[in-house]
Amino acid sequence: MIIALVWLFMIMIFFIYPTFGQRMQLSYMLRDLEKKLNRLKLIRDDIRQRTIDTIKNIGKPEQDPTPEIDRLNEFFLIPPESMDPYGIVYKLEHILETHESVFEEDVRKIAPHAEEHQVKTLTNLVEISRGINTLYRIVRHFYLLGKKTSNIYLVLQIQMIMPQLMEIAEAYRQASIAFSEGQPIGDGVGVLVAAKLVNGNEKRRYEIAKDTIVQEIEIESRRVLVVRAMGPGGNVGRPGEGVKRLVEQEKDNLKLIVTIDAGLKLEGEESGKIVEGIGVAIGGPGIDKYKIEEIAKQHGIPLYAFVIFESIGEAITPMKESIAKAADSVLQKVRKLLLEKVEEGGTAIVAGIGNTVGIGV
Amino acid sequence: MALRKRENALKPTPPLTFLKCSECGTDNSRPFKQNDYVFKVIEDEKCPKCGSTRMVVVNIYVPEKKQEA
Repeated sequence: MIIALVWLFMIMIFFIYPTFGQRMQLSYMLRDLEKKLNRLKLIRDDIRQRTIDTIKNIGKPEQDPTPEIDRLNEFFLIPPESMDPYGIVYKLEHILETHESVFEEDVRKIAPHAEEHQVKTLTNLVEISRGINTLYRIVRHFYLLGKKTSNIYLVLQIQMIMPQLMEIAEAYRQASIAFSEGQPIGDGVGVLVAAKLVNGNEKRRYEIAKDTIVQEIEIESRRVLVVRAMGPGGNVGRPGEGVKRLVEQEKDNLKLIVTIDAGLKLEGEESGKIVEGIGVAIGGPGIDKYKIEEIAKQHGIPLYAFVIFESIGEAITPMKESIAKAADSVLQKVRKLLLEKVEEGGTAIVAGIGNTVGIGV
Repeated sequence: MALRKRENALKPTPPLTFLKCSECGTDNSRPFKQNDYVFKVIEDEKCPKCGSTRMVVVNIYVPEKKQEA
């Protein structure tokens, strides 16, 4: 009797599993995705609420800023058409600059009592809120589409990258805390090096491009022009335009351009590890990198770069000790490089790249 | 509610603000306060050594636990 039942069970598995196995797998995957989607929604709501509270505390608006923040959370940017790539860098630059100024102006309106540097940080905070909202909407789209069409391959693709997406979402949550309180973040390490290089030695300071300053210093008879975004508000400035204008101004006196930025580490690598090489160390859409490469090539100026390794999470969350301490080591390396590569009486540009939140001048 | 519970478990360590006295050069640290920023001159806190009220923020970061060898 028992043997017959076991056989019956085996035969049922033999026929049922190939027929319903994929459906069962799909339902497990959808349940897992649903749990993560709910968690993503909680993170999104938490960041949205923190953004609203911070704008109310700092900006002291007369009206409730919630509808305006919800509008900005859906604000979009259409990249230029790339079918004909000629001039695309400048088209992209125009669109990004328009977007940045419109976004900043809207934040200024909903936070009328915020100081200028606070407006910049609040703009970053609203951008984080918008980023997590976009992430949530995309994951929800694939979840619902997979559920509607019972397409296991569609669900599989989004489920496979969910651990990384959840890590990014968690980093967004911590970034929102950092920006709501104005704490320096990992991405600001390049600017921190620039700030430490100048500290106490500044001879002259002026604005070279929007939100971007040049600080002139002298290191053992070498003139060093330090380019960085204006702090302590959350701001990346326009280092590409700044360096381009400086090179046009200085022409052939320039002997070296050094860029310092945070870079993404590979798994297994230490945070705060310093690497150096040739080229322009600037992330983002590529406009700043393009401008520096273009002008350096025209004038035959060597490009040198320092990168401080960190994870994507560390780049947007409060700066860790290992990264902050790496700034001091980079500082020594930059000084050594300047003494080696630039002769006495020569001029060099050092550009500290990154977000200046919590880093003053 | 669920997020709040999890948030407490995953609560990020708050950063420390490192200050240097402009008079005697003594370094000290305290928990980060809103509006602190690197190279900010603070004039409403006393140096623990000389009592001077002029200090400069020299660093702000999250301390990491030292890994045992």
